[in-house]
Amino acid sequence: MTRSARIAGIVAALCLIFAGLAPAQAANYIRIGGSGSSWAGNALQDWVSRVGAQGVTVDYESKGSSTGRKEFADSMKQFAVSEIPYTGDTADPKDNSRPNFKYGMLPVVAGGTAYMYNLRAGSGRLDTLKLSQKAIAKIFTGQVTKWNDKVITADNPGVALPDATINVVVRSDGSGATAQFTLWLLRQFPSDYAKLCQVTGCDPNSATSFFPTKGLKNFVAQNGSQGVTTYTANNLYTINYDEYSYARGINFPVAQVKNAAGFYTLPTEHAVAVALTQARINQNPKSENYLSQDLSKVYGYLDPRSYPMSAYSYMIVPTEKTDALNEAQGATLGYFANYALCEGQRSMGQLGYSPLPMNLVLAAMDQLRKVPGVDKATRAKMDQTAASVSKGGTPACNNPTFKPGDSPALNQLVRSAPFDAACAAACRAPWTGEGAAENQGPGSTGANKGNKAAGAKPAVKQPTATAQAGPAGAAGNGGGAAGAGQAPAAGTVGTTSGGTAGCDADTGACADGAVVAAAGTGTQLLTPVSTTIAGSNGWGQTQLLLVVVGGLLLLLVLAPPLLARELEKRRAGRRNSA
Amino acid sequence: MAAAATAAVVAGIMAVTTAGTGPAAAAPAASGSDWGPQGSMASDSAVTVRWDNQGNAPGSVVPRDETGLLPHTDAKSYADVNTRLRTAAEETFGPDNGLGGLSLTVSQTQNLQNQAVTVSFNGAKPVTGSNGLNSTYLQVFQCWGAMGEDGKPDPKAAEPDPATCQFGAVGPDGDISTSQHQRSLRNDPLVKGGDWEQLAPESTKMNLPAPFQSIGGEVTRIEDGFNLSEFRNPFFNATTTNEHSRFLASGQGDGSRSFELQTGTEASGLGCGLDPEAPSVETCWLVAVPRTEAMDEVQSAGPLSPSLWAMRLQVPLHFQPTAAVCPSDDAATLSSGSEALTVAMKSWIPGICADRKFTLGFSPMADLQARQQLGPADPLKFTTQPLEGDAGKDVLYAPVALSGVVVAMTIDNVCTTRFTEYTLKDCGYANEAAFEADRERSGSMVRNLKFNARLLAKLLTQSYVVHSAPASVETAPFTSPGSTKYGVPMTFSLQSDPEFKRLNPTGLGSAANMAPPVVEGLRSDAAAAVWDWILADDAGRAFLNGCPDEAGMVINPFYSTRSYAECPDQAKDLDAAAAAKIKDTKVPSTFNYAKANYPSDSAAYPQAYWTERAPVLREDGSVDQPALTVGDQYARVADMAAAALNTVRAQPASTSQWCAECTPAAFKSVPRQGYGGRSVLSITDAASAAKFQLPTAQLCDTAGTACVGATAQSLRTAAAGFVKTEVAGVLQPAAKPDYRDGAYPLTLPVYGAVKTAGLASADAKTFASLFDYLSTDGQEQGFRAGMLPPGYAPLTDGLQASTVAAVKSLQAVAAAKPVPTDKPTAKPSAAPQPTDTGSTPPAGLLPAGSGPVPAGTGSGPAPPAGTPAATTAPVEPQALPGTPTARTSGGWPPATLAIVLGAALAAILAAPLLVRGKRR
Repeated sequence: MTRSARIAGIVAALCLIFAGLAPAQAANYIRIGGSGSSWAGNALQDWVSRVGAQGVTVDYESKGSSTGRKEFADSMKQFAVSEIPYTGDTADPKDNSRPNFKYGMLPVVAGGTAYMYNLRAGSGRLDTLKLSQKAIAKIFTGQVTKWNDKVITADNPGVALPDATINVVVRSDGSGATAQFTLWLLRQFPSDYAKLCQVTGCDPNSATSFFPTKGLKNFVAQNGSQGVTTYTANNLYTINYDEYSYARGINFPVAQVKNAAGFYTLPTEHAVAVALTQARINQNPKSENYLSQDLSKVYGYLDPRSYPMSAYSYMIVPTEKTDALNEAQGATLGYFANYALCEGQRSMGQLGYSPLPMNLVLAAMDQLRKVPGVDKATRAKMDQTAASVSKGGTPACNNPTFKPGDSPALNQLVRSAPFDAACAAACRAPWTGEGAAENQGPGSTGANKGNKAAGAKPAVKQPTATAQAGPAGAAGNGGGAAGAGQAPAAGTVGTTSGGTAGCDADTGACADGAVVAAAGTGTQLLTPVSTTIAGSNGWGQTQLLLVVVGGLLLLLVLAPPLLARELEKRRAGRRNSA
Repeated sequence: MAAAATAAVVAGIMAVTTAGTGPAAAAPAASGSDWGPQGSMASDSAVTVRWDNQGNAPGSVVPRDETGLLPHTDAKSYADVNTRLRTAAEETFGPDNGLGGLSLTVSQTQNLQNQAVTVSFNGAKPVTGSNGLNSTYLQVFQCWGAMGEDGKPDPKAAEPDPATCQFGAVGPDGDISTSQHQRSLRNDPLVKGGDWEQLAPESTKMNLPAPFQSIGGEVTRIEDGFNLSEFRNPFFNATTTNEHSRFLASGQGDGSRSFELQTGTEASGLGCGLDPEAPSVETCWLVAVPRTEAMDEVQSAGPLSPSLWAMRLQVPLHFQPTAAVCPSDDAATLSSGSEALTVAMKSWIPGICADRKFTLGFSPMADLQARQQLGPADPLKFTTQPLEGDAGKDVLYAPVALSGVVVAMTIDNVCTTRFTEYTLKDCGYANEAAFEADRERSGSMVRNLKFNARLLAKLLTQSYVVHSAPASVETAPFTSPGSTKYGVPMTFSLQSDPEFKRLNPTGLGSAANMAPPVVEGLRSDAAAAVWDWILADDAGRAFLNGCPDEAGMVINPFYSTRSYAECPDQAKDLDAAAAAKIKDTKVPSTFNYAKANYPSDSAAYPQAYWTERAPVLREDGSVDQPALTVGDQYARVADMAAAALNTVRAQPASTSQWCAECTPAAFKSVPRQGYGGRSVLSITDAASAAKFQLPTAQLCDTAGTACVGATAQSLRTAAAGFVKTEVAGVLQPAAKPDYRDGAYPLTLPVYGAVKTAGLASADAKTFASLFDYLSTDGQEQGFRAGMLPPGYAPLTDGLQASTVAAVKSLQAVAAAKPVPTDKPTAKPSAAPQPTDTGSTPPAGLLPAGSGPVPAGTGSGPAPPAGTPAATTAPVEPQALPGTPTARTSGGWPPATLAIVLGAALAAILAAPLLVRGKRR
């Protein structure tokens, strides 16, 4: 570590400390409102509630992405939240509203589209359902209509699936979740999507925000995320698609989805983070869709920990003064979005989302700077975040994806993502250490090592033998308390047994380093898992601490006399002038 | 605690006695402690003003003569107002109108914050309008005051300037196309020559809008319209405004409504409540402009036009200073859990910040979800029920609040507007005096409903004919009104239910077709408590199991468990009838019948999708409108706060209105109900109901002989009867609440739950401080930031002692593990670290057990097989192997930092003093 870096660290640290101690900024933030995505609605509600406790009023309505984009374009709201941009291959011809002003997109949260289902096993709830992506495609295009269809049972050996009609629950309102889902169908299973369109009359060459159900007897459409969630919870043999947080909120199981490597994963914050390293981010700052996502490489990513149906959700903001946004409103929007991007990311994992990687946080903040009226205080906070990332050493927003000193594109959730126990050392090797993937987009080094292994054909790649064997098949997911009990992390079992369980069953050897089970937070854990945490290298917390303490001591010694002298001088000056 | 209860009683008495007095000087001791089933809250700062100014305090005097100068009119006065208009106003509102003249009361005028107050009036003579109905109404809104000569808000303004009023965005009772509901100055001759005319000199008929001047001085004026409901007004819009466009008088010339007061936080254009950081004022104004249809014919402009402004009543509103908030870039101590705390947290978080100097972050979520997440990585949650099994080990519980689940309501009672020959029969009053007494007390809203567990069960299970939508007689013959085909006919509605009538002899007025309660989708402990109450009640449980009530009414068979456990003798016949009903019902093709189970393991409030309205087909057989499902008809809302909002807005939770013009056509939310015909019930928390001053139902025992409404006292009485659970430190409501003793059955204790295994000492210290605050300052009832807001009861002494004990335990944890200041005390003994540069974080910074771990490169030497994790993390004996990726605290060892920082700051602060000292 160079000396200049140390000094820079001291300066940055001191700046931060005193910024933090400063009184609340001039905070007469005017009330603003937005609407849109209900997929991201639980995240927005959390931020709205938390800035509310800071005295800032923001209204948000989960009306669906299509409505959100329309209201934003019509200048009825200061911002929209949507999974998809106004234009491009996810755009639906039915969504024909466009803003007549300049706007920008900024990612605000990541998440996984989960397949919540309602099946019984004896007197309890079946909560071990596994689905291949192919099965999902067949179910949601109306080609597989029975729960005991071979396509489903093939992934669920030993599970007695009922001979019942699958009740497929989709969104009736225009939804970004639907757009992303149908785009996945279109790209990964074009012939299945074509069949769906043949029956329902949709356009087989275009994704849609409005799920086509015409003529599909076993489909039912419900309004909003709340509607599909309530319907599924109350009706046996149902399955739906929506953000994981909705199933979490009512303690329902979601399907473990088989990824391209043949492993079954859940949309945990880790699995989503792993998958989204493959999201191609629009890097043309001149494009109105700058920072928008292309998920085509995500679906087929071969990392054994990846959850294939992962996506980012975006806030859409005006980048010029409009009828709906003056500078005062822009100041609030800046405050709110910065809060969401920084402090607001910390609770995302708990709610069933995945925090944004730091490089996208920084890119989003750069987008935010274009909003007219973003005030000095907010700009200073964004500057601090950026400086803390580039200089290393300070807790940049305490973002769980980021380790001080690392590249912002390196996602700690990826590094700490647990592997399935059936994935032994050789299976893990390509994805750890040097092979760990980094996030794409601005701030990425471009050397995404994870890509080298991701070249294989997506989706059509069928499961490897190992995935079926081993503890993965038997563990099941408890869908809550039971699942937590199984996970060594959440239980109180001794560390030794936890460690053993995490090691490879065949060789008895742990893949690498110390065995530390992942922090299961009551999610459905698949299997006892092992993972590794990157060691601390570079500018660590202790060093930082020492520097800060040193700096403060220095301040303690120097500040009083200096300040006293300064004040004395001023007083003298005033006396003289008086 | 007894003092608080006494204060509540006192406040209640004051409400009766202080009407008509001026603003009181002293702050009320326990303002906000008298919340309860009536909805309205009293205070010792209620103010009544009269239209004729008799007895009005100086701030409320509005001269009705030439001294009443009108702003923006070039010095014209009340005397210049059109004679016809003046005469009409004086005849309707003056002292000689036969009703003693118009007077208006605001229930609280001191120490205000963002809250509801009750605005009521009487003595407004009813004037029949063209539709044959009473046309006398008030327009009520909030204004910030007036700009001083210096271009800054004038703190001494004697009256508000109409330009500073939040009006014209159209309230929930308004009509966007009606000029009276806009900022229109249409044809008001008094505008001539004034500064407002200069804004649009080309307009020949003064057909122009009044501008809005914000507290910061910005002027907003829509050039091509009259209302400010549009986006172009940055300060308020139809969603955010608190204005009432048309507050209609009853047939007796009175009315009562809850009015939301807004501070600078909610209405930054008003800036009410002193905020050192922003333009703001301590005193704002409530303005009411009384009108009739006859007056509108003379002057059809909005209430800000000078001729109508001259008719106003005005009441100064004294706001608290806005609360200090923590700098938002502080890393918060994160917590999450029970949504029953949402309202309290909004008050507590700024209070904790000011008093304890840390930022608490709180994310409301399902209690169940919070319990599952509690662990070393996520050590602080709030929940009503304790954790079960192994997950419950090493968990410390600290009671923090007594909340309640309530049935809240917004129901207009037309039975009480006028006494007619039908009143006694329709409303069940014994005589006219009983009617008068009720009318006096309840105004035009129903405030005194009673439910028992079985009635609530009936409402939650679509067991009345009117709740069987979207079924039709064709698809579900058992819902045919009066049909005896399946035995006793299905009861038509709540009002026609003898059980309901026994409990509520005065009925429900217009609300005959009231929908089932609006309920949440979130699986909260609050929802679980509702079902526990119903199931613990013999009659409620019997009803869910398929047994009839005394009148023979049975549950909708699709919601029945069909166990008939409480009526085995009738089981055979009852089940045959239920089976026949089910068999004859044309269920949706996607419906799969299964017997119901209570409590449900699927949903907070289970919903059977047993019926639907068939799709509407076009001529070619294609679907025009899709099927309307039970879920569309009775939609769930996100949480209890949303349920309360639906109630105060009279917004049924129903997505059943077909919108053919929408792209694509779809079912949309039904419109809000209009004043006069509102009837919405919801299940929400007592604090959300109190926030909007919603009336709540009293809950009764099986026999209906004892009923208890949710009040601070009844919650505390219930808490005194809480019973022990298997989990130490956790008490839960008794299965059989003591109604006679006044215990509210749906009382919810909320606990802070801390995972002590692996708890960092810094966190332990923070949590100890948090619970210490919550058990002391946080239990003081009141409206100020940091206090316990209305809708909660202060902890009982027993619960408080439990919190104090928890604080001590946490302090012990904090003290037992001092924070290392420089070097880590624990060095890994195994697992070589290829990239270790000696920068291992101090143990106190990381959750114990995670320990330093090597970089997972895979290239480093692997440790011996089966190496116990403990060898690499020797910090905590009871450590868990869980390793979070992020800490909830900021990542600094606060003790060290705080000491050094404090010293440095002290030095800095001392510097000027030193200088001063030297000079002397």
